[in-house]
Amino acid sequence: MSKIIGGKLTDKKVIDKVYTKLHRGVLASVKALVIHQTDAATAQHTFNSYSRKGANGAHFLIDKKGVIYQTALTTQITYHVGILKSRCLDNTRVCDKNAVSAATAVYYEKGKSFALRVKKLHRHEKSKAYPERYPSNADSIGIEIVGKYDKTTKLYEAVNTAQNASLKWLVSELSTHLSLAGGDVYRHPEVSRKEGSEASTASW
Amino acid sequence: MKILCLALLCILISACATNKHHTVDNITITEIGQDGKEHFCHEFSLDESGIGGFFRAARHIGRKEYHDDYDHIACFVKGTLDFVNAKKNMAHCEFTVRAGATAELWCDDGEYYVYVCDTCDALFGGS
Repeated sequence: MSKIIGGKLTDKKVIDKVYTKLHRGVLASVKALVIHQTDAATAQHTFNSYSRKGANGAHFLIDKKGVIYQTALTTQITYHVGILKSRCLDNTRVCDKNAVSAATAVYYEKGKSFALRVKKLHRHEKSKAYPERYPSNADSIGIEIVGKYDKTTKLYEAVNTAQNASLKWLVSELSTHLSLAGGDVYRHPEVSRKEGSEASTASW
Repeated sequence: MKILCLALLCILISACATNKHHTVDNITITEIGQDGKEHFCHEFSLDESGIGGFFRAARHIGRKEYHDDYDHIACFVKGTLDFVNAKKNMAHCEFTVRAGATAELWCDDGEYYVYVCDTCDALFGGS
């Protein structure tokens, strides 16, 4: 059984490769996990980007062979989610009428470009707490799986067997340590406006 | 004399940089729709003139910048166009322009491009 010590998931299955340039402040409470694909061919491509000033990225990365790297402390916020979709608009049954009306007003605001509307909707969502909204950078841990978008098929490449085995283990360990339920694990496009096939073949 | 040559070189380099423009022509729209859950797509449409305007103002970015910094909005206009890239090579391409003022091009020379426009609010629902 693994342990989390000082923000590090300590286990022989996890390689410590923390990039402090990803850290954006204290992650006080983890409510969810968000599963991503890197849109890069190799782990090294992503590690290179993590070394740059102002880098965005997630807490863990699973390479093509299923090797798990920890790339940020679980006690630190990283920028991995992007702008939030509205949980109320995605499923009006989970919100009261006032919350749906408020989100609708922002989403359909006339005279504002679609890009600006979704950014304003994100700011509106951030004012709520999870689970009234989707998980954000401020309360989630991100897991990247190495996999590229295929411009011919117009889909992200499938997550392979070794990667899914590692993902299943990692999700299980983090969920146990952080007291998360099955419904607290999301694919990136579920919570943010990203290509629908990203992480669609991830399973845990 | 050396300073004059250096100044001339700088001007030439600058001129080359400002000539790094792509152009599009023969725009044909084949489909307007959406490929994900987005409720305002019925408000989104662009005609051939709008597509041309987008590409005149747009800039080429890489996939990583697109994934990290831009929103992939499900509402789209698809079609075909002739594309001359910055190196003056021409290709016939399929395009998908999305409501977030982003686009992808798949060209018959095997090239693939992502374009975004940060100044196109008026074309994409803004006033």
